[in-house]
Amino acid sequence: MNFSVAGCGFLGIYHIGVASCLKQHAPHLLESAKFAGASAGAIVSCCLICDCCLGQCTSFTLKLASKARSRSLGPLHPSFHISKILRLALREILPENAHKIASGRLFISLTRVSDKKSVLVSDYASKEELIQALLCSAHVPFYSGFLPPSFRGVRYVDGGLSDNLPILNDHTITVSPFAGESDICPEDNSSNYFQINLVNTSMQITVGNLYRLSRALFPPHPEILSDMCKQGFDDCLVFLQKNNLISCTRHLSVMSTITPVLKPEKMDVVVENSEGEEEDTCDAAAHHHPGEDEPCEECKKKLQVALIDTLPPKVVAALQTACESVNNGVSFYFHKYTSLKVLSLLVTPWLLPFDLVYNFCVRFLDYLPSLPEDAQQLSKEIVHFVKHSVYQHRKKYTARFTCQLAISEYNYDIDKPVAKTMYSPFRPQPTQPVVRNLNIGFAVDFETDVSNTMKSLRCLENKMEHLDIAQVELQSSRPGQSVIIQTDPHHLKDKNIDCSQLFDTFEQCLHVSNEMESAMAYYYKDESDKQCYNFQEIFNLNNMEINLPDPMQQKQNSSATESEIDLSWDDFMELKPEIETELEELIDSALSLPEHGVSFEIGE
Amino acid sequence: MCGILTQNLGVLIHILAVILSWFNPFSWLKWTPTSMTKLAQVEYRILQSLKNVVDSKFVSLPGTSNRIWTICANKTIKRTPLVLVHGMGGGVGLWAQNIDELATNRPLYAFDLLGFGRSSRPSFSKKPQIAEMEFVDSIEAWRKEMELEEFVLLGHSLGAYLAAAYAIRYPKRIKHLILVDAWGFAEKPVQSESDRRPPTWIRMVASIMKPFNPLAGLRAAGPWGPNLVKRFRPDLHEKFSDRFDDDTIFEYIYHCNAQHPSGETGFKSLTHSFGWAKNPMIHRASDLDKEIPMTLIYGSKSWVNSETGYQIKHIRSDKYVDVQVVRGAGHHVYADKPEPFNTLVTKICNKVDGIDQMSLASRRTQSVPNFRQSESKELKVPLQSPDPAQL
Repeated sequence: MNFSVAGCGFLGIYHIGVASCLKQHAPHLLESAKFAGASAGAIVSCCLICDCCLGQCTSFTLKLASKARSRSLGPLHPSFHISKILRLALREILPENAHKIASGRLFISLTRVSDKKSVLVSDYASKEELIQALLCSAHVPFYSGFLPPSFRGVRYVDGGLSDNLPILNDHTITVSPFAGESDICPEDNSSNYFQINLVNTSMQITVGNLYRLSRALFPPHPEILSDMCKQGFDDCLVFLQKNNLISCTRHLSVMSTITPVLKPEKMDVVVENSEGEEEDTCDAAAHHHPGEDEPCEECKKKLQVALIDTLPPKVVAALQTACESVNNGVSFYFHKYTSLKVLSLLVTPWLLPFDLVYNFCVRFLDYLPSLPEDAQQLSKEIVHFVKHSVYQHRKKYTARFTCQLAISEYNYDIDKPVAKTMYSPFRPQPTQPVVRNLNIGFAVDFETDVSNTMKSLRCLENKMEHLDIAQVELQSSRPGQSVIIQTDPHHLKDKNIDCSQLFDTFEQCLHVSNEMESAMAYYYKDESDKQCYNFQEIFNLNNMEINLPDPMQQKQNSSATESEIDLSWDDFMELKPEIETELEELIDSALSLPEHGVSFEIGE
Repeated sequence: MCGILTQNLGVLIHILAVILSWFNPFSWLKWTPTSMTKLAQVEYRILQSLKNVVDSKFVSLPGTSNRIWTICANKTIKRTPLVLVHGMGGGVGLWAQNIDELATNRPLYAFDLLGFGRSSRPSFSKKPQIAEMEFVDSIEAWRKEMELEEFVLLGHSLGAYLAAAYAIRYPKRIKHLILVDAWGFAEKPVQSESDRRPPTWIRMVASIMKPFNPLAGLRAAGPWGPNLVKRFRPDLHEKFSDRFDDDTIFEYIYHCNAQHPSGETGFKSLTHSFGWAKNPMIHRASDLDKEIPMTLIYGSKSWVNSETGYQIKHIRSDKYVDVQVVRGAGHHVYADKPEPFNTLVTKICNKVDGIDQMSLASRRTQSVPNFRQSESKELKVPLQSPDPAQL
């Protein structure tokens, strides 16, 4: 089971609440779980994986929040270097072997600056690199600084801009501080119909969510933050209870021994149970083992404790001290009296220029040593970005090869009725009773984005020689639901042939598809996307040996293959007569295309 | 003389109207790029992907000029028909992943509610009771036209609210009532004083939004509307990605909602400011005929609280009420998890007809084992949960 944790700036404190609940009540889930997240979500998951003190994390977040609130411009004030503070804090909090723990378990979502695409990072060479990745993921453009940080030489910004809630697989528990369709999320008491899905995070349009969004980067009062933390804990608890995930370790062992011990009559109990309504884990176990009530008592006790449980004492203490310090400090007076508040706002414009100049100087001096390298890299990336955005909508040169093979099946039995429709472009002699014509075809597309015609032609030529199957898109499509594309991996493994090697050149591709498929293949143009071809093949690998000839040998074999095709086709039809009608439909749809025969076209 | 003049005038006006309708300057200067034709085209693309739909037609309701767009499948089979009612802002196209499965062995009808999709878009009353009656009456009129005697009624969201209202008024027609993620059942909770008051700017935004229709922004955005749908509901594409890998579903949703907001206004009459029903169905649950069995299906991730389902079960404790939660599904249960949903509904319908599950299992070898698998997988999760490796 995996967790996906949404990025949300200062609302990350909600995740700390969730994390402490998981740690307390469902440690078995955490043992091998993978975590994916963006910005604050990634940072909290990292802390959770590395088993950091969550109390420390909470107090740090609150300290950061109150620091952001202390200045008149809030977190936008030039003296508030969020990245720097985060870096120092992460260095302190994370253990030395953090990168080893996190590699392969923590997936950080980043947004690449050059093409705005989402990137998931999951291996880290050192602790410093892990921290750098976390900081990249938490870099909100213009909020955390103007220059995006780089990870392994590529510049990234906040992962929340492209994929805020990366989903690893079907068994992913999503955690989001925004009310919506996530597994663990607060429930706003609203019946509002409308919800949106922003960068993969589902959000109901409610007053509460609007408030949370507005507070993600501009932190609210620590009291409100601590409420959010508690909310996270409660929501997580509700989720665990709903899904019966709370149980004690002793209980677990009982559960795991159930299956092998089962006797036939007990089997029914299990089936009944799995089909019945949700039950508490404890009750279920009691049901199975009426004699073993004692461990379940303990479990029940634990469940009851969990019901009234709240945040762990460390986290609570951190929350309390933060609230108190806010209420006692000098800034409290500023916030308490409106006149002082107004005064500080009035003073701001006068002080701000000095602040700005001072902070800029400090930053510049900090930055000076790495300037030339960075400037070079940044200019490169900007050029790349501009290029990308200019050429994105430009038309590309493409070449398409289509190949069609018509197979005619003859009926020598005179008693059977003769089909009148002729599918083949090559019309056979009228005296021969044609039963059926089959058209087999495939298409290969090449494309370049080079603007010059000559250049593109050369480029295409070049590509043709080094055709890689990875670039040829094989798509299954709807009408052929019942027809399966079979690429038998075992077969290939036996021969130690890599798939890309298999379809190395165009000729080979042609040959292999001829030899292997033997049933049929068809393609059609996608209605909406003109460049996309849906391409379908049926392979009949069960009763056939594939031997892959070299391009040299292929010519010699070519005469032999033709006869083989007919043979294996017959075999195929004999084996599976029920497919016949389906195939006929497919062929009809394939034949409705205007292209026939081999064509080669280059167009803009 | 005067008579001839008026007669000519009438003819002239008629000709003018015809010319105007041909060269309608407004159609060229139209801000929102939508029309019934476009909706019909997109819907055709969706329906084309279905195997079972045979019939689609407009059903004119007697006594009014309203027409209701209906599709039906497997009309000839003599079993209890299943009628699907979509939710707010939807249409028959949203059932794309369900129609084939649900119509395998029974007649199936789905229609666009009055004021939604391709049906006529009259103006609804501002009063909640009357607006609700208008909806319910249109369904009853449609039923009469379709000559259905008894059927299983399935409603999603707003459709579930209307289905329940219909079942209360015309209990004789309903063999089984299936409510999927029903909207409008729970009562608006009383806002306690201790609740944090939202900041001023949010309250200001809320009060500005109040007089507008819920989807007014979509129409106001004009040519950017289709992109808005794509931008803010990318999950819709995900839900239907098995069937359509292009923008079909976005276009469908857009064209359903960018047109004259009639059903939307009707929906607005039924609600308080933000989504709560003015006449919550939970108070009327006891009015429902005792004989009608009920199944409430909820999505585990949905914002609709399944608690309401259990409340209804409590209220109608002496009658058949079943509450099912489809794990991993959001509000659009039928689109998020079509397979468990379809098997669940098929099972209910078969039960209505008294078809033996076992005999079915032998006939349809594919779907029943699937159901077994999916169900056991779903419900085994809590049992296996202690072992994290298996999850």
